[in-house]
Amino acid sequence: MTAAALAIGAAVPSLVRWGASADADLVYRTLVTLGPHTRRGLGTQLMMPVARIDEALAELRAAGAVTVSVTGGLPAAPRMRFGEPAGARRTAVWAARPPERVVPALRRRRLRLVDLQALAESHRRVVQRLRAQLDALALPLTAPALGGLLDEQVRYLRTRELTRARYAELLPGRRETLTINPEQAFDAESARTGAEFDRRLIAQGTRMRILGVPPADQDTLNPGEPLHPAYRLREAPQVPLKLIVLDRSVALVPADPDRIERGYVEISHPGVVHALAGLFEQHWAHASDPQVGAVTPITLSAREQALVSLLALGHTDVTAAGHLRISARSVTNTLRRLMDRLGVENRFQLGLVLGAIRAACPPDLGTPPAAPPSGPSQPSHQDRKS
Amino acid sequence: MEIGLRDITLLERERELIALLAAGHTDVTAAERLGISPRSVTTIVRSLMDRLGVQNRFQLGLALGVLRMAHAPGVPSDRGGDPS
Repeated sequence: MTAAALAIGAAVPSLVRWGASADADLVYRTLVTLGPHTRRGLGTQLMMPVARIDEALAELRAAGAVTVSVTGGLPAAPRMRFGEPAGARRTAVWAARPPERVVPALRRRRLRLVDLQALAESHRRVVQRLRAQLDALALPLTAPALGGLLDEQVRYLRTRELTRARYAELLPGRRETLTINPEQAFDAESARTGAEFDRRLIAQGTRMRILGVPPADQDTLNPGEPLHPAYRLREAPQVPLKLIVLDRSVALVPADPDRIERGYVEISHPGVVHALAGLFEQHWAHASDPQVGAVTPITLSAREQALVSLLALGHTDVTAAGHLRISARSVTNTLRRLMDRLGVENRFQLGLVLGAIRAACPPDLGTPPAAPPSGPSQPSHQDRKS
Repeated sequence: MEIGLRDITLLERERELIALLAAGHTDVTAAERLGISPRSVTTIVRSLMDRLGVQNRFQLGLALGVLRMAHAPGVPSDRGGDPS
């Protein structure tokens, strides 16, 4: 019999959360679950081109997540590799390091502190490039002590307090904010006023996109509080500068990247703002969504749970609707919303996810813990183990 | 309590098909990938459903999802901690 046992392994934490690519994560899991493999073996197992396997393995090796051992002509699987001299049949076998060692290492790598000097240099490069292109940013960036309104398109806000007051003036009626935050943590004052500004922005329906760096001290496996839908967050290991763009018509950048207390420069020069918004988009496109890969707990509403339990028993939408005294259309809509929330496209996938979290169980496989064991609901073709 | 686990060893073909369906493929696109007819896909799924004692795709998904958890070695059950 050529039956292969359904390969099921222990839970392996997602490496994606620590900056690994999806391919690398998949290959790593496969190695943990199925044991050492050759690159071609992995390709077959995962139905992926060997080129992609190679990239994933290179990435995992650089991260210290896998080891490779080369054996001269494995007796178990001798395989001729083209391009190698005869007799030198060597097979590289890849093995995973244990997750409990790999994850902390990746975590340390990802959670390193932001290099403030590099950030200041990056900020200056951005400003210099803009200046070269547009000749619009004159004095304030090199001589912030001058202060005041320099011209109608570049205004210097001398202190953080002035900046906050001006920011509050600028906010009403805005539809979009683009923010780059190089800070890994905010001081209490910034956090307090920031939260207040955010409340106002949410209240007026502003869409906010925020590009940040991974926090220095947060349990990254735990996604924490769900975000208000007005926010979209992404993270990148490096960001070019501190930046806020409002409606692509006004931009705020620190006047002196080394000294945040020297306040901000407010720019309304269309060319400069456009270029800064473009810079945001460029970095945004390459940043990752910190919510992806985090283990978001799935909770079902009472109605969803009741419905799922009925469907698990083999009810159709129509009979389940009858039981719940709701319309078949409500059943469809409830399931549709649940599927959207879980990110699945069909009922089979929905079942897989709900089964994996034990939200329900088909009757013949056993019963949920609280209920007494029920008999099989229909004749089965195989013996039950019980 | 015991989850009455069936002996579910999957044939290679079944494993491939399930992986495709789990990834969101339809019967037709999964059939194309595997180089078999959509009718064969239906037959394979049907036989798997019979073996698991379920009547529809949703239940099939549930069963496979539950079994995955139940089989996972070293993972405590999330309800009451019964190692099946």
